[in-house]
Amino acid sequence: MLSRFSELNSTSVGVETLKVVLEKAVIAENDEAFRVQELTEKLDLMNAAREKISNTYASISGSHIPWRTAVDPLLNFAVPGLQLSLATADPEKRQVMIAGLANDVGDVVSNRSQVEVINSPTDLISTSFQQVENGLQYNAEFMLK
Amino acid sequence: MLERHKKSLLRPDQILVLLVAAAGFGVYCLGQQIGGLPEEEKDLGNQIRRRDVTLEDLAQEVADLETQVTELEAQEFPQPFPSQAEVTNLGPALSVYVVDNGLKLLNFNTSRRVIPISEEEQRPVVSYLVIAQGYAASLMGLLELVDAVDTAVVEALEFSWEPELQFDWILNLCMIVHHSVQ
Repeated sequence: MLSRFSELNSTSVGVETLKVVLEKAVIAENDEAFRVQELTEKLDLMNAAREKISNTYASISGSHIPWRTAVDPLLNFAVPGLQLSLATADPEKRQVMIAGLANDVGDVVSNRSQVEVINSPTDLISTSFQQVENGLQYNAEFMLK
Repeated sequence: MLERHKKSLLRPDQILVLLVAAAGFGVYCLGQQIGGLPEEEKDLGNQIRRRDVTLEDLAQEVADLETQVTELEAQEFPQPFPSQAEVTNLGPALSVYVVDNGLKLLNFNTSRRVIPISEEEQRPVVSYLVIAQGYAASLMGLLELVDAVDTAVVEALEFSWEPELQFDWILNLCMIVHHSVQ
């Protein structure tokens, strides 16, 4: 008993006091950890909002098609025997279809030679022509590169 | 009788021993309440020191995060989309081009609306329907105005020609232009 008393007497602060201090330290640590979590979530939300708008813009502007560049070479040519009457774009398929009337097959070939050039913004994917009353009905489909 | 009574009482030395024992027990109990072993104290001290270090680290982390939040809040929100005014002004720009280049505006409609771009997101757009008649090269210039706007999405585009139009073509253009949320 005396030894226990001397042990107790030898402590400088007291376990109970230290326990109270430790408890306060744990509470403070939990508070700070909660604050870290709160701030991290806030930062994540802010960054996500910024990223989302950038991604949406990238997605929309990425699907923007410069139609003038795509269509101009298909209409801007000079083949005397060929009169185009229609150029229709299909934005979803990224295709352009042209239709016209040619005097003969040679005019169609001339047209192909003018639109099928290396630096053309489109690839010719199909052509068809059909004899009609006043010439050849010519159709061609192009895919945007 | 007095002798018998004297025998039944505790002697002074016995009472002293009992008092010392009671006092010792009291001190022991009190010690259990307020004190502990030096080892316990040392262990608690270590735990407190470790907590202090962790607390300091966390406080530093909080300070860093607060700085990041403040900096991010101070930064202008990225707004890559053109403003509604810019997108709406495309209409007058197209009209001016039509007049300046001798085109005929056969039809012109514009409206503001909101379209879904995914299951959970909608975005504001201005939609345009333009039907114009004129030389093909001039109509191409009209398309150039559209091409210049990154957020213009053409939904339908058609050039058509009829013999009675002679040198003219008719452009039929339907598009939406995305703009920023106001």
